[in-house]
Amino acid sequence: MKLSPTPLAFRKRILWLRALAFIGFAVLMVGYARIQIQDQERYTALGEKYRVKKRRIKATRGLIYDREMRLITQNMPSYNLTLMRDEMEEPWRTLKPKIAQFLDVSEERLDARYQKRSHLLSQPVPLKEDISFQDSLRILRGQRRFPGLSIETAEKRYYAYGDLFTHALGYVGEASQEALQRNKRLRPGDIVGKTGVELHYDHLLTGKDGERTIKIDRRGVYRANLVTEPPSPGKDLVLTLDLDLQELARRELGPRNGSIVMMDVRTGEILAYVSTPTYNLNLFTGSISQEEWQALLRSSGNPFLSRPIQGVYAPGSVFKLVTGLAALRHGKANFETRYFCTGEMPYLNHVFHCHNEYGHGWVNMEQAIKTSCNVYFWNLAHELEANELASVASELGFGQKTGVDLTGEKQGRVPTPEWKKRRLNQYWYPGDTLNLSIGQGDLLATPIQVVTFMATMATEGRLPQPRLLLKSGHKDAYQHPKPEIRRVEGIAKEHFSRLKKAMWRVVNEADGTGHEALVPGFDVCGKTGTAQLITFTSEEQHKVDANKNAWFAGFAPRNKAEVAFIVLVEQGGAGGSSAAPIVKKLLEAYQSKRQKVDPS
Amino acid sequence: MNRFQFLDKTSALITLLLCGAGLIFIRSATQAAQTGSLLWVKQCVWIILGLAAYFILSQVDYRKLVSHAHFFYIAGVVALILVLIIGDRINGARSWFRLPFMSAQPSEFMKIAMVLVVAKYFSKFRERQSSLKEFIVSGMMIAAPMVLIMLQPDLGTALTFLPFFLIPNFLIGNKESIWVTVAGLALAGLLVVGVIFKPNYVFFLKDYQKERIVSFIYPDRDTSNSGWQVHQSKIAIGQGGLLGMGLGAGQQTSMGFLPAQHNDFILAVAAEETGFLGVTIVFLLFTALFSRAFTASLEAGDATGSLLVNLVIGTLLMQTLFNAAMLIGLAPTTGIPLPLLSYGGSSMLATMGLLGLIQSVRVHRFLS
Repeated sequence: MKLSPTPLAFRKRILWLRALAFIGFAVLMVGYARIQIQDQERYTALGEKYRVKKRRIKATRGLIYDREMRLITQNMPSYNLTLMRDEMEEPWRTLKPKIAQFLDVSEERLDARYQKRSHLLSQPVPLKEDISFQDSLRILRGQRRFPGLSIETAEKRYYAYGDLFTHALGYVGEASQEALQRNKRLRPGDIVGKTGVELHYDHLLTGKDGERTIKIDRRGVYRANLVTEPPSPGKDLVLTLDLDLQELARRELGPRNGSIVMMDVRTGEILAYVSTPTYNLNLFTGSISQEEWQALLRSSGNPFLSRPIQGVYAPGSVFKLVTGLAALRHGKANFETRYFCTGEMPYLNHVFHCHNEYGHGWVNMEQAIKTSCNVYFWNLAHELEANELASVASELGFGQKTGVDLTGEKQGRVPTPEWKKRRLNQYWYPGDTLNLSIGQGDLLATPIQVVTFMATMATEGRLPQPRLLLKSGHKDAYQHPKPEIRRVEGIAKEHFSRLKKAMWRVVNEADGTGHEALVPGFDVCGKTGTAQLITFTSEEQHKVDANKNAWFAGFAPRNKAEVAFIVLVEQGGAGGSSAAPIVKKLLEAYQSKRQKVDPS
Repeated sequence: MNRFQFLDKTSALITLLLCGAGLIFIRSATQAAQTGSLLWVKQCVWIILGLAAYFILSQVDYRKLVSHAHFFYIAGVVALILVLIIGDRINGARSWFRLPFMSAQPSEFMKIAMVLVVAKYFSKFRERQSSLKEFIVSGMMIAAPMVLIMLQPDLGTALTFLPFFLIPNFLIGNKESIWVTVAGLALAGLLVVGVIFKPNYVFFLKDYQKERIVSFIYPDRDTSNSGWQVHQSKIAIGQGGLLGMGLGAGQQTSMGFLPAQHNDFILAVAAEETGFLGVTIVFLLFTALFSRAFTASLEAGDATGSLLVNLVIGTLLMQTLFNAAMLIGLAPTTGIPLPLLSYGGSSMLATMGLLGLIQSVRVHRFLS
């Protein structure tokens, strides 16, 4: 036996090929050496990062109480269905239809959630949020059949009084994209306040999330699970609102659209804050269905409008107090100034009608306020410059935000000749001043502005900033916000006190427009308003309540005033008949509450 | 006549050492997984069956096998067609026949048929160079199974068929065929560029295949799937350091961060647990194995035998280098197992069969 002499002609190329193979291995060795020797530390650190996980422990959102520490917003446990992939015993494609059938949800929805899973086996895959307690029990019982399915408890907001505090409390929801960008600590799916107090005090209600360090061991199963940073829960809020007054106000307003605000004139604390129509806040804590959302959006009266701060209205006769103050301040009238009301007032080429077609006869300022005589104030307006009236109105808080602790407050509008030229490119006519003097025309005010103005009247020149927050913090360690009170400049105390007397007569004298608000022994002062929604062209339109918003604003008692109030009934006709009876009930309730607390 | 005495005992020993190393790493990689903890026992069975194939094939005269190569080839192509129709779909690819005792992957066994048929086709070129005609015909011979495998779709295994075309044309081909090969490689480069910049134009590749190519070029762009695998595998390898974390103590391995760690990523397990030292030993064993094989091809009794050995070297070398490069991100992630070390019955049997063929060439190198 011997070897073949020349096996191949291409011997040289085989040697090339062999060299290539050696070079290949050499290159790989260099590659492995670089990773294993040169970069070992870097990769070890990277590996550590994957094995040691930091998990967030969500901090509990603060609770909300009314002023008497009655819980009005709390957190309820909610159950989320998750899938632990490291405990699964069958592949997803066979497990999916079974879970879908068990839970009665579509396979596509489950699959959509599953596709968003993390790479780590240890990360639970959320399959369905907020399942019912019954379902959660059913799943726990079925866990043996579906290894890997798990129930995770979280919390969801629950509003004990559903639709009672709607516009004051506001609702919560998942953080929007913008919110996520603004606040880097937020994670997708985090719950944040969207409106009302929930939004305005979100920074207080939101606690500081804690951290849990998890060491992941074989197959991604947790081994060590340490709370490295305990979460600190959000602060509880105690609101200035009073559940009883709120309930009463809501009940009295009934199915009518409107707002009621009751405020402590000394501190600006809001005792009742009602806006109707309303809706149930709990709709938003679960996932609101598209149909429910559409139904809310379509429903009449815009339930999402927080009327006391966002509804802008012509305040009507309530504004006559401002006109009176302006005339007094600028020396265009004194308390004895009298005008004769014939029931109408011809002015330039137009005839203005008083609401009493037979006229009020000779009236001074007190009588004019008591009877709400238009002619008297038109005469004052004739004497006043438009800007004189407007500047006093601004000084008293009209046309600017009150600074209430709610987001989305409207500022209303005090029209001036400059404004009219700039916005409408029209000249200011003397008739515009006349309209302004009785709270009509382009003047727009929010109910909260009017109630703040009432507090100014009551305190004779102190303008409190309305607020809903009484205190915040945790048991025994509450922080009280400092009341913000501004003094009105340039208007004498005496001017206020004389007008207060007129307001007292509105309620306490039998022929006053607000007599129905009389509460014996409580010296209620008030002013009615009946603001036209359209320009009346006939006497018939004047009689239709739907064309008029009814106002009743005031305070009580006359001396050492405590509360101011505003009741606005949209399309409610005359303020005296629609709004005043509600005020009576509210003040009676307030009075009896006060006596209970302080029997002296 | 007993020809066992002519067996290349060195390469047989190296083969056994590599199989044994594979066994240890598979055991380590699967000890955490409850279901997979007995895979190393199964692998033992494959190694024993593989050794049987190895020794049987070493005793069969390769010339006889080569003369019947076209039967193997046709049988293999038929099997590849059948697997597309009645095969089992595992991990998205229809590459498996489910048999009572094992799942067989016909594309692995097709490698043996390919080696024989290509060696047969080029056996007449003992002294002269092949021409463009052979270039094209051999190209078509190889294209048929490659296309069938790509249809499964199993890009990785299809790639390991490329040497059956490149090796003979490189060793025997004339200048033209080499230039055409260069042009072909340039086209492949163009394809990659196309996938990256105009993915819609490359309609014949599946989305996940395009993704893999992109994630190979830009490993940082995507840590979601294939990029993630390489990322995790690099962490495992890097953590191993010089001496490794010790057998069974690899963290990436035991925590299941590595994908398919007992299959394609077995070398990452080795690197994590035995460090650069272990990897070096594995590479040296492979280098020695291929070195012995090159010697066998240089000492072969005829051109057919020499070519046959080179073809085996080509496909196994491609698998080894590609797999090792893939783990450190030097090559795109495609499902290519590491010969002898990765878990898998078909792969083990086919690799042992191919190595058995080398032994056959060596045993039958003497003129009778």
